[in-house]
Amino acid sequence: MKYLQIFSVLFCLTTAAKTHCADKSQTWLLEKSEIEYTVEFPLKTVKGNSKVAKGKGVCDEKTCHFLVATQVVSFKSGDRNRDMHMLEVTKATEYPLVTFEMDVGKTFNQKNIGFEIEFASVKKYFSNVPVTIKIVGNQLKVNLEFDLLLSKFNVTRPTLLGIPVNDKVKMKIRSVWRLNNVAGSNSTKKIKEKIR
Amino acid sequence: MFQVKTQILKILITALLIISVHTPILAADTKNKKIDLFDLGYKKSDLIPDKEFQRNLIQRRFYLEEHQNWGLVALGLMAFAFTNAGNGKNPPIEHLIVGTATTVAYGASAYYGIKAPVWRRKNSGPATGGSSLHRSLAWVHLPGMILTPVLGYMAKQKRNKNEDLTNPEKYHQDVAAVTIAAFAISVLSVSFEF
Repeated sequence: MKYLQIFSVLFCLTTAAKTHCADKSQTWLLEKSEIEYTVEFPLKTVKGNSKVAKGKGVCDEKTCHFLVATQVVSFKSGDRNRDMHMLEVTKATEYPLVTFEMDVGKTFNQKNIGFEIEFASVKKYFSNVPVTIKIVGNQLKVNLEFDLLLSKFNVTRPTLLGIPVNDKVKMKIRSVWRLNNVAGSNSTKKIKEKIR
Repeated sequence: MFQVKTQILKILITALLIISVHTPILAADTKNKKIDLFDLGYKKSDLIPDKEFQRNLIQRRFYLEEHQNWGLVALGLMAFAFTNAGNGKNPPIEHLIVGTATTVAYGASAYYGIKAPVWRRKNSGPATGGSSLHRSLAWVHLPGMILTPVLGYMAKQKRNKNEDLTNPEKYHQDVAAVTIAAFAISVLSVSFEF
């Protein structure tokens, strides 16, 4: 009888430990996203976006590591000819993907984050970028805006009637993430508890 | 005493078994795995450089740049030809020279525009945005660029014979005006966002 009691206690302890530690590890999947660029010519402003990015985030006890990637060819600006030219100047045939990689604190209460972008074979780290992170239901909404310099990525600036595009390109990223290992819990409270 | 020892041993073995069963899962769960592109669902084929596509884009750029340069030259010459046409009666010889040069520049621009390769695999589909309008307007200015010099030649022949202009050569100026307007809009359609 005693033996059974000890066995039960031990089993419960190890199971609890396992569950506790499993809770610390999370996987976030990118559910929806929009990556938008804005380039400016002296007489024209062009916006292009990609809505087919793929992303994943894996968290340990303290931090979450996120990776988002999208194909350069998936950016559409509403003019096919312009998009083709964009593919050429960004060397999209040689380097077909643009990737964003970042480490975020698991509490998701940051106002600024740092991330690395790999684009046209060049990797650049952006620090202190303002970010909005919201937990809504079982989703994590992450929005950020920053400026990117084409010259830093060795991208030859396209020209229109001989006038080159502005070197500074405004980037907007809107993303919705879903916690992969939450089963059946939809409340914000539960998710907040989980990420703590 | 022996019985107690046996029981303790049993408990220890059981405990070890439980821990050994749970530990590998524990370790696997807590390990923060570095994510790569394959984890996101990309395949090796998505990452391989497409040399044919690159060649196509470089060729396309060359042809479209020439198309643009010759198009701008043609627009300038067109405007010049239109303004030095006089009042419709006895245009100077420069009008004929500039008109001919316009036709040559337009022809060169059209040649490079048509020769530019179109990529049909990636980003395929019909032209969109300003490019779409640019292409559609070719249906107006191309016939105009054929008709204008023909009508101009007919008008010149009649004038040489001191005859009055009748149909269709009397429309030389009107056709030229419509052609210039369509051509100018075509240039603007790829230069500004409407």
